[in-house]
Amino acid sequence: MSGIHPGRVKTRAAVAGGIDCGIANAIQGWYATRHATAVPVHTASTKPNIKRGTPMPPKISPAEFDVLVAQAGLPLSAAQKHEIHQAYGLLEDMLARVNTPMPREAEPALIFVPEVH
Amino acid sequence: MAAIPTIADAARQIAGKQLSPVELTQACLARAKALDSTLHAFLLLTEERALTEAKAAEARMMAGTLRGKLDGIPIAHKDIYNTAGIRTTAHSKLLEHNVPTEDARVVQLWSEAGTVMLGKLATHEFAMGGPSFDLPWPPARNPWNPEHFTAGSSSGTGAAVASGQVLGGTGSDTGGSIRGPAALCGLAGIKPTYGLCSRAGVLPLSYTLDHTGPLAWTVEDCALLLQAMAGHDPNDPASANRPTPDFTANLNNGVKGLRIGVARHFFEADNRVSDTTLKGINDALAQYRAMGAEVRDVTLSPMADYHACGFLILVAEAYALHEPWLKSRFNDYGESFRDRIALGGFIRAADYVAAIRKRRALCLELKAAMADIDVLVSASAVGEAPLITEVPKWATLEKPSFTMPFNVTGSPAISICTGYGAGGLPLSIQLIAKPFAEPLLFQVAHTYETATDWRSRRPALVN
Repeated sequence: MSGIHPGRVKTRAAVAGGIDCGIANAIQGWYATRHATAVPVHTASTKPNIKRGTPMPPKISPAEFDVLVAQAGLPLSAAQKHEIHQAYGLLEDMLARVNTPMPREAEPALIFVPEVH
Repeated sequence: MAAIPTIADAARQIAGKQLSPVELTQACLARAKALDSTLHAFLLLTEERALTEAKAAEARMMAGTLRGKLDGIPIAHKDIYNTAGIRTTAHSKLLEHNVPTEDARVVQLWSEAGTVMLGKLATHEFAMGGPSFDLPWPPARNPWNPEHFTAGSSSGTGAAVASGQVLGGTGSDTGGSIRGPAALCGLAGIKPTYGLCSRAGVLPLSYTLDHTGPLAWTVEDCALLLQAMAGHDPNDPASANRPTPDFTANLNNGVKGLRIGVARHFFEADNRVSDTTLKGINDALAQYRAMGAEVRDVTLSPMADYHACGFLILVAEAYALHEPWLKSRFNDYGESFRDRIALGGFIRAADYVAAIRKRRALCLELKAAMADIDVLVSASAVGEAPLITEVPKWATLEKPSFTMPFNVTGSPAISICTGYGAGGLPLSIQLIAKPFAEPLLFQVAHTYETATDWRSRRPALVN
């Protein structure tokens, strides 16, 4: 069928509460080996097919972004760091939009309610 | 295969003992099995349970003890709603074997109403990533053309309802996850007022933006489903403690004398919709005028301001929730979810506070703009569903969302179908009301829907 790519094996297996409609990842194999009695039904997508688009260029340099990643403590690979850095410009634009001057007394939308329930 | 009834039609027939809940359930199960390999709407089909529940409903029908209009109606839940003893995965490898011990409150309520649960539905990972092709299950596909996107994150619900695998289902909406799939799959989908429906037992994404709500074929069906899921829940800190109105009481009251505002700059300038979507919105407005409503434009802040405020809050709160796993199991998430949520790790406390201060300013702005109007109109989506392989990973950041503004304000908002585009896929409009004015919102949406014949067409693959 068009739109369905080869490489992953659809399985049906009894799981908690019903019949699994899952797709086993044939490359990793972790799912299929767990359901040895599963019956292949059809094939579907095997690889990430994520359109990346053209994000707004970030103002901060890769080195400055490295610092942010280190502060957050996220275990990003170099490729992942590059990918997310490319999108950081979109976040910078959003940050500028919310950091506009407001009266000092302007309250946030959420305030503490002492009658906790 | 038999025609797919609406919930309202099925309820009438069941009440009159003209329709067997067991046969209705069997027909839905047959569709679910036949379409599974094409649409991937279900992650888990609970056939045995469904037939048991359908038989119980049928026994009540024969005994004259039906619980109400949802008794015997086949539904399914988005797979972020906890279901006792039934796997709940958030469509993620991280929860692949998660089996909750209790039902979410909404699952309980629909069960008490007599619904027949057919299973658990696909979602974007943790209700945000997607469409993703690197998860344990494939993404749901659009019944109007399986090459195309359902939108998300309530993707399985959109696909399953539009193709008649169920008559209604649950969704959740943090930035548009009910209204997006409703728009692209040609359904009615309502994000109720923040606090109207319990979120207890639903896997959270963003505490202050998450909403639960239904998707169905018609506005009336949404009203019936919402009736059974609204109400105060002390286990949800955001739950509003107020009486639940009758959501169907005003459906046939028309729109004569009502004042409809149009946030035209949202969809003509801030994020311009397709020509066919614009025509659909303008035709709907003309219809409302012809039926006696007063229609006028209103001006709000740029939609990008609402979107920035909502996205920053969302990604900061989601990051806080997922941080332990992001640090220890980053690569077990799908790429879309993990990369988007990682951005939340770079938001400073001062920026989060700025966003929630901005949020209040935007809520006040919308309140003032709606002081002398009853319902606001905007778009739900740019146009027809794109190819599922052509959705950019950063799409949720690149253009301001039509739906996010009303997560920011917590307003009730519904997406309904305004026809079909050149590609044969659905077009849509979004209607927004004041907080807790769902009866009026349903009234206005139902008036348009029943004045058109868009509900007479189903996707070709189910005919």
